[in-house]
Amino acid sequence: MQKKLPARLGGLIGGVVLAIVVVVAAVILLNRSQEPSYAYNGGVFSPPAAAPPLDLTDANGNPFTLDQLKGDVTLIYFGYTTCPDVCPTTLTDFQAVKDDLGPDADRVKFLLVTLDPERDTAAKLKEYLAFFDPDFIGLRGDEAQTAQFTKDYGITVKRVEYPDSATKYLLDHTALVYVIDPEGRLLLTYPYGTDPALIAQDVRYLLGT
Amino acid sequence: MFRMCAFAVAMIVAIAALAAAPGARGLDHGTATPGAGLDDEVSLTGTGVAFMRIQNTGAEDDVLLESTSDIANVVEVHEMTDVDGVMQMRPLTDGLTIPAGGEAILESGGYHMMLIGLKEDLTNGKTYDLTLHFAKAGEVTVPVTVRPRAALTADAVPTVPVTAGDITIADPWSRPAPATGLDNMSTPAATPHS
Repeated sequence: MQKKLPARLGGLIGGVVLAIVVVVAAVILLNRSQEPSYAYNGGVFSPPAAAPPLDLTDANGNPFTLDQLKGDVTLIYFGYTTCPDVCPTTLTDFQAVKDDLGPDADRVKFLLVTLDPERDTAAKLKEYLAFFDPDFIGLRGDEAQTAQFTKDYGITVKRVEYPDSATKYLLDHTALVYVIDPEGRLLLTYPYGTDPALIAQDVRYLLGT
Repeated sequence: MFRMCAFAVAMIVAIAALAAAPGARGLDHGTATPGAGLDDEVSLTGTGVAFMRIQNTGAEDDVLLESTSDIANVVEVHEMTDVDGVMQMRPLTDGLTIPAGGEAILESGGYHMMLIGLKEDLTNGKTYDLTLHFAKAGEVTVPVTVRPRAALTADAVPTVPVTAGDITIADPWSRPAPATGLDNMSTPAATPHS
């Protein structure tokens, strides 16, 4: 008899706890359906404004503007092909995002904008990107254009000379991935090393899939 | 159990191969200047990166003076630092010290070997040889495997660490990277170390 009481009490407590969990879950779900707030995995520009222009030249030598990509989600990385670690890693992450998205990737564009137009000729950009994915878009500008878009996107670039290195010079640079939404607004940034699965999740949300 | 045996056999084979390898190639360690006298065009066609752990079980520091590989014109050790999201790279000019009883870790975001002037694409799954020249331990050649990220996939077989003297090199790997500009090169002229 003495043993039975705690067992019954336990059952009662269990039932109450279960009821509370169900109620709380229901409240959370109801709230969600009322205001569909989605928490992005990256930093959010608030309020998002029209993305600064990237009126540049693509790796095929054709003029490029961001207007061409309206309706798509655009991921942008500013880097250079001589960079051995961060830039290829980011492009490998882009590949992973694209793979993760599957057929949805048709509405996603991946851009590498070079910070080193002196060495990254159109031909080199094209060859470099083809290794990762021929659909990735390579962009370059002249010195003035490069200065303008780095300023517009808040990219720090510093050229450092290394006469004793075979590289001759290297660039210290901001290594963020930027996201432009289908309406052409600069919306998100991700720090270097963000899990591609988290980026793909945000992209899917933006695509409404 | 089988994996353990396979590991031991591979270890023995690796050590035997190392022992049978020809000695130093007559490099003058003291005067090697990275990139000296190289044609810019050649030295900059495509770059790659190699990572590894270098352990020193000895009682004295050792120094990695330089590295060479047939896959690239020049190999340099660089240090990368992340300063508030701005990535800074610095070539090491005085070699990389491996502290006594310690290790030097070459990993993304820290030290790395930069392969300058790739002669072949570093495609996923490929393996190439990289030779490291230490002040005390001498020359060590390790097989470097190309894979997309640091973590080994579940089905991947870890490479066997290679030991020479007090130095052991573990898990040398490279990220995929393209050799660009090979079509435009007249001759792969400057290969000072081969």
